[in-house]
Amino acid sequence: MPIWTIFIAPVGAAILCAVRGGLPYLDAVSKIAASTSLAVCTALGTLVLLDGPVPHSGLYADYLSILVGGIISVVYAAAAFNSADYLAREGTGREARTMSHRFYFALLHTFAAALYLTVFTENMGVMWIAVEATTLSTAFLVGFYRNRHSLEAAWKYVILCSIAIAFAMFGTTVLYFASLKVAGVPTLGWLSFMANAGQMNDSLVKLAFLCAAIGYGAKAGLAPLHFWLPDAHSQAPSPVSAMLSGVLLPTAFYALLRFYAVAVKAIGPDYPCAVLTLFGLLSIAIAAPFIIAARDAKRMLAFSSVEHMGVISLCVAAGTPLGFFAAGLHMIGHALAKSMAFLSAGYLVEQAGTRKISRLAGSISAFPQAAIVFLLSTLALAGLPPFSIFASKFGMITSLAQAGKVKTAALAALLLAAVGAGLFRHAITIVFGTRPPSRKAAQHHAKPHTLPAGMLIWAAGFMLLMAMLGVFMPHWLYDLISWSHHSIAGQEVLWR
Amino acid sequence: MTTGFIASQSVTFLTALALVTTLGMLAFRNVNLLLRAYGAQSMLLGVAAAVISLSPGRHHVLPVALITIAVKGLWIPYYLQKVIANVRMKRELDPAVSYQVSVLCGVGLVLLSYAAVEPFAAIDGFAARGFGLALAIMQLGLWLMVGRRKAVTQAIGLLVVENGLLAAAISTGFGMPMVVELGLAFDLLVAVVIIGMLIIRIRTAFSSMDTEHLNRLRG
Repeated sequence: MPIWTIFIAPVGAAILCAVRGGLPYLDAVSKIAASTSLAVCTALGTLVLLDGPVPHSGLYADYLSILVGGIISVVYAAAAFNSADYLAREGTGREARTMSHRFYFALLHTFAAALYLTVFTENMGVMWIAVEATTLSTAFLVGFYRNRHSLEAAWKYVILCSIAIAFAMFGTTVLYFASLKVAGVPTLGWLSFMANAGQMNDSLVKLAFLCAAIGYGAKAGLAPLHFWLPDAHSQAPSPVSAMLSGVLLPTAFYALLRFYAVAVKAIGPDYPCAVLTLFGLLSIAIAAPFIIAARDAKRMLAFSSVEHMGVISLCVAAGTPLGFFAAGLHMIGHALAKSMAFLSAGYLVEQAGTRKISRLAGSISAFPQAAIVFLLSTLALAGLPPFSIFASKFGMITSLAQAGKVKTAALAALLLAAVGAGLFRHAITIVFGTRPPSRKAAQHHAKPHTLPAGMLIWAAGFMLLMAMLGVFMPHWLYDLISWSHHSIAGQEVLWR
Repeated sequence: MTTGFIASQSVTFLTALALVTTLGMLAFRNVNLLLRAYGAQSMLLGVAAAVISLSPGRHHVLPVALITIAVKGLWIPYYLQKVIANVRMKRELDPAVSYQVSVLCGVGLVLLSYAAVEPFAAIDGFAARGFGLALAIMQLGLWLMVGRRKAVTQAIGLLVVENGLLAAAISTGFGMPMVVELGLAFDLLVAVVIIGMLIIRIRTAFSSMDTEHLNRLRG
């Protein structure tokens, strides 16, 4: 099965959604496209797990691409299945906005196609173009509501992400030049970079990695380059927030991992790991006070994304196979938990008509199902067992300590405890707190709202999956994540 | 360097001229003038790419040069001029950093860029000069964005940074592979259209183009 088949569904759906309107039609097209993508990605994954990485005319799928591609497919499906409900609820009482619905779905599928291109291309230049395309396709999704706040968020998002990522392109050019000096062949292929890494000039590779870390790190939401993130994630429609946070951040980090692989091979792990440690610790440290003092529920979740990207960065910075395994597991857990947190928070916010945590308090009586989903996903994000994020955070601390970075591990553990406590407190307030008097009167006689059946099924599925991954790991997934480390280390998988 | 001496000298010279236009942009008040300077800068880089494509084995750079001249040199300034006419803006009266200080700091940034690429001079003199110039153009673009408040000027800063990338690609002596350059040009085109639309929407929503107003989202 050629790799390009993965693009058929999202690109086709984007075109189909652009040409015709009507919410039921758009909904059907999106559901079919997302399921097809999930199926194709599963098939590709099986193929790669059985036969090893496949290069195919400029495209390339190895274990790491499949890991991130799988995360993309799952969250893309969750977003596509829940968008129509969201837009329909959101549009009641206003004039039908068929045009913007078409626009929304067309951009959503374009976004998915750009994400797939990022992970399934072998060419580092094309990878950069795809990452920039994710920014461009989501700009109007962030600014979807066209009010002052969302326009501000969209402006910051486009300008800051584009400017930062320009530095990643500079890094790519420097690496290209370094490879050109070694091999004399003008190519931007990752495989040839890996092959030439051993002879590349050290200072060129250092500069390239630093630029890539700034560029892709900003796009991945690592502090201190995260300024666009809380705005964009809190202003976008909730299904889009789920994708921005659960998928786009790990995908940008994936791009950085490709550079990390070349850099480690060329100059050894010390320098790249030091850069990632710095970004990781800063991300957790900067997110912590904002989460503890949060007043806006969606902003709280956005800052939690900064924190989780910091965790992933620290996992990789440990530089050991265990650390890398924790990073992979954490990407999966974060994507599942965060997308559900955003979808349920979006539901609560839109029903209550406010984002303020103090005014959302006591949601359990009015919206019991949404409140429970929100509570469970936030607890998972805070790192409570049995959810898999507990296991991966534990893996991060263990691997850092094993790698001799005891101080970093201790500091990270302290900060994570503070973040967990903050999330826990806000989740308890939102779910069980005392309702503000204004809402008590209005909703006294209203019967409890139930979530749409579709969303409930997705939520239950994601929760179960996360709880399962915390205690039990299927063999194929274990192989996929641990072999991703082989892809990055440029090793063959030995058993074959 | 396999490129002939004259070719490599003229490429460096053209890129250096592009840097001079960037320094000039830091001092320009009139937005139309800024756009023209950007157009001129893109033309200079386009011609530099065309000079590269004359050497043997590098003909793939010629389409890139032509696209650069057409898109960045002509179409983007034209499109943004229309956007500016739409939002009725002429000059930036109240920059965040005064024009004199801005230029002075700009010169400092140029020196900093040269210091950063110092280690490569031994590997390849032509590339080291080129990377120094490219990094300088990128940093000045960034500085232009920091120093000004209007949305249009910030967008121009972004475009200057992007031109710095082109200068970097030129200074490898090979240019990027065709696919990548085409993708870059396409991304830029889409970005400019999106930014233009956002500027018009911001103007409608806030009755101002000042990015000072974009500070409501906090905490």
